Amino acid sequence: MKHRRHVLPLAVVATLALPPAGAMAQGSSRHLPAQGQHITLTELDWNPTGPDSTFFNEVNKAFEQQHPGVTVQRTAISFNADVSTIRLRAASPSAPCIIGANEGWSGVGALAKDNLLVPLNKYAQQYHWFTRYPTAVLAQQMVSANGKELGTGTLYEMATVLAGPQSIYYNKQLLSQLHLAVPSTLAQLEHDMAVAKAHGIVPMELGLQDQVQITVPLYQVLDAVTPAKQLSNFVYGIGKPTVASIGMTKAAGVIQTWAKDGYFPKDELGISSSQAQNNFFAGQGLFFPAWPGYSGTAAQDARTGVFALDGPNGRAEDQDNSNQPLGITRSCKYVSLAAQYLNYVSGPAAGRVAVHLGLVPQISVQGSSAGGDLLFRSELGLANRVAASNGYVPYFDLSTLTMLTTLERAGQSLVAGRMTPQAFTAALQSDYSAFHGS
Amino acid sequence: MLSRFERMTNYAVLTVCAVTVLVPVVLLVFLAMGPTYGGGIVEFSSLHLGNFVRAWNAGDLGTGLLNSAIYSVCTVMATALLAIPAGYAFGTMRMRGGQVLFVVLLVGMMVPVTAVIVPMYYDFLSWHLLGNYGGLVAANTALSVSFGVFWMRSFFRTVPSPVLESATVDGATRWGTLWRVCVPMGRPAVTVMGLLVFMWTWNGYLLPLVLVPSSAMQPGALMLGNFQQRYGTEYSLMAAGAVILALPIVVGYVVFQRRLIAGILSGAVKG
Amino acid sequence: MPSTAPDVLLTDAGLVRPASVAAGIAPGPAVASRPRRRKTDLWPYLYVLPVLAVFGVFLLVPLVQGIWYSFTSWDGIGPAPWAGLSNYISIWTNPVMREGLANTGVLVLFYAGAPIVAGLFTAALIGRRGMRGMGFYRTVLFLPQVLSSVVVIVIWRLLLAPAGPVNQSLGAMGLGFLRADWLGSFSITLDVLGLIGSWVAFGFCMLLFLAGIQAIPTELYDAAKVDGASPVREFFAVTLPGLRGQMAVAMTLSVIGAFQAFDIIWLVTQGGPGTSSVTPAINLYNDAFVSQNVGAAAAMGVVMLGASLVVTLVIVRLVEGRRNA
Repeated sequence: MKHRRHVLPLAVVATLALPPAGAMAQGSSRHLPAQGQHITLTELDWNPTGPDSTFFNEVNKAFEQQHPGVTVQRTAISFNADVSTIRLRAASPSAPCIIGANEGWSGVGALAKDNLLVPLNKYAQQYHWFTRYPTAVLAQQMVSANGKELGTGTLYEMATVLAGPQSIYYNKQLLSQLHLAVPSTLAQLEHDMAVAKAHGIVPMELGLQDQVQITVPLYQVLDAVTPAKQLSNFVYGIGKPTVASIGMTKAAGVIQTWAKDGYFPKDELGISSSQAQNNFFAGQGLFFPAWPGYSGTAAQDARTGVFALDGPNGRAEDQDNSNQPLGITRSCKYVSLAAQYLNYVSGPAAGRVAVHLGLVPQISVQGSSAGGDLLFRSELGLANRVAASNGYVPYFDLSTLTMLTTLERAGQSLVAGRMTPQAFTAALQSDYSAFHGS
Repeated sequence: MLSRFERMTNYAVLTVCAVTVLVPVVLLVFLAMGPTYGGGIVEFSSLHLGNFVRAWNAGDLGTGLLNSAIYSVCTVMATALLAIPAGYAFGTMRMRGGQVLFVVLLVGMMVPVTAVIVPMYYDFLSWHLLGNYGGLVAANTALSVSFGVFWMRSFFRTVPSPVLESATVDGATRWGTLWRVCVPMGRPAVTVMGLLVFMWTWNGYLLPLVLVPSSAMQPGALMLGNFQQRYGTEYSLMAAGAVILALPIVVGYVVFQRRLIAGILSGAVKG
Repeated sequence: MPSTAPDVLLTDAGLVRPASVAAGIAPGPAVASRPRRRKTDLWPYLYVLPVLAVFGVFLLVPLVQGIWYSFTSWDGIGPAPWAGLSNYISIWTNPVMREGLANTGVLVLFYAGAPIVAGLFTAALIGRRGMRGMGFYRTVLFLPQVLSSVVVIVIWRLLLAPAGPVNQSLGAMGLGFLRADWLGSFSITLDVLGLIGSWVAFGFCMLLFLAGIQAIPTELYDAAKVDGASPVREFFAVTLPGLRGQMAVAMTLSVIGAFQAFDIIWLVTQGGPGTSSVTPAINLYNDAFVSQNVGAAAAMGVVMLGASLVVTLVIVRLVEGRRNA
């Protein structure tokens, strides 16, 4: 009984996963499909819902139209499932040809170390990827030959066009009511928040029950006190850095002071980030730190803009990376076709699809209009500023496998005043030392 | 027998307990039908069913419920088909080493899911059980059969000897006796087992979280979990999703509660 | 093996499944009815074989592998270097692991202690002779048991939000000083999550005790009445001693439930704020699926298995030992 029930789904999966017999016979060829040949290109990404999912469906369809005889068979799993299963999926003999692994040690670092990905330098040259994308963005997909360093060596994954800087949303109405300007320095931001507080408005909507939102204000402050180059050197382990050496204690001190001064909502540990988002779009708070892509109703979006704090030298410097890097697995039979796919999904045509769907692209997109959504235009503007100054900063938590968890937990203690900024830095440092054995 | 005062006190205390259980559940249903709740005061001004439609669409709960049903029905079937004959053998037949085998099976009931989930995950991955429905069904079945065998054995031990002895001793006839005589007699016991296994599978969270990586095959409980992460602020939407997920089980519980509770109560007498 | 051992196990150690409802409860009173067989035949083994195969392949194999992994520093892929006892040692030396163990102590109170006391109390009331309408209460009090943990946390997150109904009503009743950040506090959130666990578990204990009370011979109650015992005295003299078996089942199941607490806490706090509500199961999940530390996760699993077996044996020994004495 049990088996009969499973014959059907299994059979369906099997037929979908295997290319037709004809294609299998010629499958060992690493060349592009010949006339009349049929190829199934399997692709795995972590965008199961929303406009990001639509983006991949549309791009895949367009790619198929450009390449007759090719079918892109897509699997979408959740980000968490991707992070926890990606190594095993890539190691499987039936691994998808094109696979999305996260930046950092849990993804591309681990896969490159285990030699599960095809090096992409040859194709990067062929398709001029290093001129299309800033090196600082592609560096996040690079791993050294010995597998011990990130940010250098061989390119193992290509960024897709989906991207977007970390940002702080602001309520234009409240800002103008309070006669304030959009801040770009830490001092200006703190001034705006002090004024809001004095007027009984929540300065910054923050919800830490689900932990992750703490990274945004922390990294924004970090960007403002430490030059991008130094932050990026830390993540890539250049010059034996320490957490204290990149100004973490100072940034943590700023966050803790904000918490003490009541710049975050009361009970910030008991509300979720989505509750904070809700409160912000409902017009309650002045600022809301998050990643791009949040939106409310059209009316709410119209009164919302985004900014990011500049670096200490006045340049636009911000956390930004590909939202979905993709690599080619060792077991892939159509490597050059897969490389063509990577070229397509990181190129201008895909960029136009992204913009059309309201997704911030990594490259500037010609011949497309951002439409009437002011918030989206504001997001594009920020992305362009960061691009113009080449101020890309890798996320601090890419520095070790467990840094995000460590930081999120310590962040709650920091905000609750149960941990000093020094102890916070020490907690992150012990995570870093444990991982890098220093 | 009881004094009036005693009786009244009993009712009062029990009513307080019932209210503690019911108020949160009833509030959930109201929230699911109400439009205005942002973490503050609940307004019951305009009740409607629109949230259910929205939650159904936004959370892909239809797929989730269907998946839950597939997992639960398959697990119940597999457990019943495996446990009934085994319980019959353990309960009515003489078997050298049978007690040892039975105790080994019983240890399965004391194994925490967490003790096996990690190796299970890696095994199932290499056995290709993670990309389809088979993995979660196999895991749930393996974790349910110990209980199933134990439960059915207890029932078959109560079947009077004459019923069994009226059948001849050869195995084929015993097989017939099992399905034609004993199982129909034991419908209540089989029902209770089925309901419990169904409920465990339907409500499970950690097993599918680990064993179902593909979002298209996630059971409803997991989808609601994702849903509450994504739409955590839309309380009424979340409440509607929770009601949709709970409804089949609660309706089943209300319909079968007499039989379920009676079955458990009569079974427990043995302790 | 003493011949009574299996029966002790099955009546009282019962079944341990997550949030399990049915505990060591078996349908119908046992009637000795084993038919006599002339010789051992092979048929029974054929009846038992399929279940043993499934059980062996899908449960015992992973169980044994887990024990093997726990002595390695396997990262989930490739070779598994031998690590000796280091995974076990770090369970005691790592502060987060230790905090998880300490939190388990608190959760035992809420997942086992409170539900047993409340279940005993309500079962004693519902089980009293001469009360009508008890079926209704029985059905209602058992209700949380049939709800998925995801549904349960949706309910309680709504109620306990900082501006939610609980805080609102406290304010309205003039008890504003009692308002709290129930699910975002270093000091009380673990307890609040534990209470949610009590809310779920107590209906199960109630039903179990109710079953036991129904099995207590009426004569004992009549005798107590004749002696003029008060309801309280009657409870301690007649009801409680009659519930020994059920008590063992309830304790075993709920203590093991506390050991593997995951869903409710994971869905609400993921172990936070800070690490104040981490549990061994949450640490295990993080080790296995975040830090690629499969060996350490397996060791935690083995410790939980060992703890569950020890608890079962100790409780069965305590309860059964006294009964047999």
